Amino acid sequence: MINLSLRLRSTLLALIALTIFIPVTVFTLDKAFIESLTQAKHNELKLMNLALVSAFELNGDIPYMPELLYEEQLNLPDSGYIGLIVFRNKIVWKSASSLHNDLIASPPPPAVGDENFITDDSGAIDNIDHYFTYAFTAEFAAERNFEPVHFYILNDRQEFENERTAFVNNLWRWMLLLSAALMVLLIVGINVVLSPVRGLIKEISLTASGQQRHLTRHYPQEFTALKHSINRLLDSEEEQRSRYKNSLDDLAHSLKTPLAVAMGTDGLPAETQEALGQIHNIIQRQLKRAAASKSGWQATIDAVPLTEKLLNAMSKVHQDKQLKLFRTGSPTCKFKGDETDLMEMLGNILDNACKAANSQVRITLQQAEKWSYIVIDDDGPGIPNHLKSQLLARGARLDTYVEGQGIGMAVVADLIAIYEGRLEIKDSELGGAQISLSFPLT
Amino acid sequence: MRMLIAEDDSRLLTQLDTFLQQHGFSVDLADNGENALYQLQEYTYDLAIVDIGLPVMDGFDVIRKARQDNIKTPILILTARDRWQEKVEGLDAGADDYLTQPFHNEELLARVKALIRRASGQANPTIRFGPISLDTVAEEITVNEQRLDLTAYEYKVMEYLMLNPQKVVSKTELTEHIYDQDFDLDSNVIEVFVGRLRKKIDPEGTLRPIETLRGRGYRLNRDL
Repeated sequence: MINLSLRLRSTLLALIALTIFIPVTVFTLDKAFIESLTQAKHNELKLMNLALVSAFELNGDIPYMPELLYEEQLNLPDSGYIGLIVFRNKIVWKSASSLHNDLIASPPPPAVGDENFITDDSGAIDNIDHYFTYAFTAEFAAERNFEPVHFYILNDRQEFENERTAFVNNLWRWMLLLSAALMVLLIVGINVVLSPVRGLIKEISLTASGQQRHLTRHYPQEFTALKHSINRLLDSEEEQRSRYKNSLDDLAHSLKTPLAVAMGTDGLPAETQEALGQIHNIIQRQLKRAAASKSGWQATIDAVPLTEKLLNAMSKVHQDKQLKLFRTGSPTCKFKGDETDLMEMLGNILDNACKAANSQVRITLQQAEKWSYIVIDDDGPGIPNHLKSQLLARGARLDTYVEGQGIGMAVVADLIAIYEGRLEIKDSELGGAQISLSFPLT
Repeated sequence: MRMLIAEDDSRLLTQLDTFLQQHGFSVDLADNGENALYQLQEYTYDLAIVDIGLPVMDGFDVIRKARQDNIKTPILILTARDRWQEKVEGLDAGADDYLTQPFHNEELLARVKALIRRASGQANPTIRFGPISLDTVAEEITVNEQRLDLTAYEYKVMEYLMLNPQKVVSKTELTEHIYDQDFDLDSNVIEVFVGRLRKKIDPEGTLRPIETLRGRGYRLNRDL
């Protein structure tokens, strides 16, 4: 049950409800129908019996009945209705309808003035197994005194049973049809009810995968609060990241300015200079690692405009070298993460490439389904094989450039690890080094 | 060369001031963004060093507004926030180069000189006109490979003229670029420096390296 979907649960519940509801309804309606039909039969037989009583006459001790009665059912053989009159314990009259029926015994009589209605009687008629019996005893003036005369109407149950069976069959048929219609209605209803839930799930997954920043669709009232809560949570997470980053910036500022003063002091011994340089490297690297803000629900950004900005900046900074800086690859390339972090990685690599390059630096952006690829090539001296792995080590500084603090590539390696990306260093077809970065988009 | 340093940390400001003065720069100081912008608008500098984290108005705004006012002074941004985003934003706003704190003074000096050189259209640290050559790194002038023994102010005058070779430079301009803002201006001193320079560069009187344009100022001899 734990793993069943909401839709399956609702459908199962509806099925169970219908499985219980339908037979109970049929049973209840059948019972009500039988009661009502039996009551109608009682009234019918009572009227028929009264007709017998009114037609009966006693001349002295001789009972008399007309040859034909108003009740046609009693005149017609095999009609299912049989009339009987018992006087002085003898059947003195039986209706013409009993032509093909032998009467075995007369049913037990009621007291004078009483009626007796038996719904399922048997044993009085040879070829009718079950029948209704309505009996009434009236007193008639005989020769000497009043004597009881018993009037019976027997009615074959077969017709009653047929009617009931037809009703029950009809009832089942309609109930099943109704159930099917209800099931269809329920399934459609469940889908309609669950549609906002599906929309919400889809939007949450789009937000989680970074394709949108907030939940924007309109939802039923019940989900509005949830939507607002999720959006508030996303905003507060972003604000917190930005606050955290700003705090780290302020910390960097307040640590580095006195460090700059210390390093600028005249006549500082070389060991002290070196120690201050190390302190700076540690601060720089650790703060950058701490400021890296990868989170699960981060929006994707387009790396292309950011790359263009960086290339403009590089062309300004390295203006003296008159480098050809250019971008190739896809017109857009997504990166799932923080813009500052991507800029930090690409800035460091491009800056190194510009310092090393003789005449050109190329950046290639490509986007596949689940990964984005960024490749930076230069036509500088390249990196010897045995130094490639060392370049990514902590604080490594293999170049001979005047500028730079020597931890740029280590910061890049840290950030790539945080973003679960990959970093490769190869020889470029341009003649120098090729640095390839790949980042997952999910 | 006249320079503006906008930095709010007084210790760093003093240190930069001392260091750059030692290297022959006339330095004006500003300790907040508003003052820095005002000074950039009011005076002509050869270079400005602007800290990003300035009070009152941050460095980005100072640079942006200065560029909007068509001030072309080369600007080096100084930042303790050494993220590329800040550097790119600063360069985007109109700065020409950046330097992250902490830095070695030598690196600062190299960047400053490179920027001044670049602004004058010279890519090479050594600028040559005929037999005269100016080494902006070593801060020395040679004539026919012979190093001249110049005072700091003489060097400054010659450096300015060589970095602005097509330009007629007035005495006032020269004064502004080799002296600090609060220096008591006396244009006669410039005439003395120019006279001494002519003698040291061209004792025979054959080169005539500095032309005098009466009532207008001085210009480097274009026929050198």
